[in-house]
Amino acid sequence: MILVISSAANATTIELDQALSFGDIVITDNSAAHPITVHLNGRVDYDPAFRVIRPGVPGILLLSGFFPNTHVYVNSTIITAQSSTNIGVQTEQFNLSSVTTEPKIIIDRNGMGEIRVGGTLTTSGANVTNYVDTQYQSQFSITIAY
Amino acid sequence: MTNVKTLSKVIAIALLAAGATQATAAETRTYKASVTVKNAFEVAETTALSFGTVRAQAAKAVAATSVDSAWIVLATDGTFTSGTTGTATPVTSKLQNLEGGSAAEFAISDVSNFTAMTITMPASIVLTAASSNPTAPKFTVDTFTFKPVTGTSTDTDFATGNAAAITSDGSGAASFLVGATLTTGETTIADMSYSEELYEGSYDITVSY
Repeated sequence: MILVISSAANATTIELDQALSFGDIVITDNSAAHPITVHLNGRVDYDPAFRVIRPGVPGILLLSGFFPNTHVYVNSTIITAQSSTNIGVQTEQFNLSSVTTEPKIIIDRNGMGEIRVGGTLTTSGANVTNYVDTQYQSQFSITIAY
Repeated sequence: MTNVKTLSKVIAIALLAAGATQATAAETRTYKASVTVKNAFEVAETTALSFGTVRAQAAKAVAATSVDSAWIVLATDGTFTSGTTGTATPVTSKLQNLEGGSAAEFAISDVSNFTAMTITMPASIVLTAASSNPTAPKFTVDTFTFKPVTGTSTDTDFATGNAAAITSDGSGAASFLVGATLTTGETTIADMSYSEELYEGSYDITVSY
């Protein structure tokens, strides 16, 4: 008897389900570097230097196509701490001071997993509040090993 | 028995194959974190401040001690009261609402929810008519007051700059009414009359956290 085992290549995918956002905010005090933090569970902490119009949300990465029960180790790195905008005018910037993730997740029996990404953003502390009304972005990377 | 052994071998091979594909791997992806700053308020005038159509006569400009004036208070609920001020005998100034008029209403939106705000209004402004003689009398509008329509303290009139008198609701919106006092001026022209036309002026309202 000749037995042939055919095993399709495991197509692992990592999909961005929700981008890390610190929300829509008002800055009322920039006399010092004030932080706003988005936790992995969705809680947002900030001090009275901010008014929050729309709360921030953690980033969510969806993993699929993995073998069940695989241990996936997660590491984050800040690429551009200082934020930038797409507008052509001078404005204060933010500092992405930390990015947080669970250090390890375990893939479920369906071959899927979820990585949540939180972080802390701080104002410049330059004692001026001339943040132009626009979106500010910083970059970070997530590395998974399994 | 032969069949059973063969099955055992097949399972062993399959597990081996599965183990072989779980070699350690790593992947790195780059993502963006964002924040949107919205320091500016959205404040819209939904109803203009208007004292309606009035009958008016100014005071004759003489020595300061004898100057009088007449006034109309437009309350935030849209009602009028009127009176005169001064020591002249008889009082020559007249001001009476004949018809129309309304308190102003403003709508604030796109602010953080359940947040106290301060509303600042001018001390006074002057209403002028485009075509009138420069020496013709003008009106003064002062004693601006506001009353929150939404949030807390909706039964109270507040003066300008009253901190935290209005609070946004759960959707980040609030609205308020504005009233003020219209007062006649004085003039050097003989008949002390106002020209029959529209008198207007502009004023700034500042909303801040």
